[in-house]
Amino acid sequence: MSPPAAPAPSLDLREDVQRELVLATRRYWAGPLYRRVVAGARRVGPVSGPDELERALARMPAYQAFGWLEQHLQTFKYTGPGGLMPAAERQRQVIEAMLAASEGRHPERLVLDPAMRLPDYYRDTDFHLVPGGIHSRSWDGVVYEWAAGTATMMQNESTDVHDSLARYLATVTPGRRILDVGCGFGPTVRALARALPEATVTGCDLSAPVLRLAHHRALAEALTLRFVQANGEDLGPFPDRSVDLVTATMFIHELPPPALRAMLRAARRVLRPGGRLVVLDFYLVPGGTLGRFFHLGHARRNGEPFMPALLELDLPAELRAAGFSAPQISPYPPGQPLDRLPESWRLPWTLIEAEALGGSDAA
Amino acid sequence: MTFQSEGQRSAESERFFADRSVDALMGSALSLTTELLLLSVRQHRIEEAVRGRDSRPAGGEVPLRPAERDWVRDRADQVVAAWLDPFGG
Repeated sequence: MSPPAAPAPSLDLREDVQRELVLATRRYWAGPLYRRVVAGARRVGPVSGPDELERALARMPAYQAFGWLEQHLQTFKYTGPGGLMPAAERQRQVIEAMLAASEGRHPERLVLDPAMRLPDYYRDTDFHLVPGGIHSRSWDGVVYEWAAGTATMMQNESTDVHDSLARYLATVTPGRRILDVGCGFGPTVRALARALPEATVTGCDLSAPVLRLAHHRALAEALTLRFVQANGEDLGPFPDRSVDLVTATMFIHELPPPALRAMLRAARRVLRPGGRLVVLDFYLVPGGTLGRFFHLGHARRNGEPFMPALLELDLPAELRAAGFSAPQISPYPPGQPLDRLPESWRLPWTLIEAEALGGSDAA
Repeated sequence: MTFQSEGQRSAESERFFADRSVDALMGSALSLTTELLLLSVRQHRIEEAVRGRDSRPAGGEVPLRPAERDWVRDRADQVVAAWLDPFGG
């Protein structure tokens, strides 16, 4: 008989209303306001690049509102009067009891490393403008999960993308052993477990709080998943050639280039020859200069300091240098046009795939 | 705005935007729009109770119920549009 479920944290009226206001503002921001900025940018005429466009639009009211909201709605979401961080902190004891109860069940499925040394770039960057990051407080995973429902992409997109990727991977995976790097609170690994019930799926991440929540969520769905605290730059706990498929969703844009190169080498090491790397991230930006203007502005205003550097990388060359062959890079979902902007603001989802070379060919 | 220190807000505004007035206007409007939506929800609950559609004490601060979600979402879209429609191109 299952033990009774521990109480779960929830939002009070003010917090929930603020969340709905944030979502409504996101809808307006990504639709009518974005289209007004696009129309204004098209009136500017030819420009040399995103910087010139930025200067030309700096005084435009719609662009000032657009940029302000892109940045400050995030801050408001986390630390406003009904923000997610005070909501989680208020329920700290509930959250800790909930996570502790799950850790007592199947403790073998959650491997934390108290001696983990966080990389400087990770410790020092407030990704997505989360004050203090998501790695130090027991309730950070809950804040991260709540925030994902009001992220820059729309609420449904944030969950559908994991399920659609899992459905695709179910058709191409070269084996049953899957490792998801930078798994966060586990949306991709849970989707993989649902789509591939015979697979052995493991998620790894630097953050202990998000892994504790991922473990809790997996148990709540009766999914057999394993979570390991590990640095994607070395994937130290995972043996050579022990995995058939490595995935990473919304992860590599948070890595500075040296860390990304190390992560690719580590992924190659743990993959068996012929194994597959599948990354879903933001790389092919549609819409030329105007598209880059929006994407680079998003990086600057949303706490994504390494997003611009990813665009500058020659990813096929990086993949080959790390020991992969046949790199394929395409817009996601398939068929998204690259020659024009989307009608509503969206992140430039890109599917990046490659195959691990055989042992004698590996870099 | 109460959710950032003055120093943080100034540094960020100067980095990205020329107009400090935009920062003040947007920050005030965001806070006020949130309060307006919260007031609307409370008023809606009172009206529902008066009409006999809600047996809970009027003005209750209980969390949003699923049945209220669509109404709150529509109202949120209305107040946000009223706030941001004037920002023309």
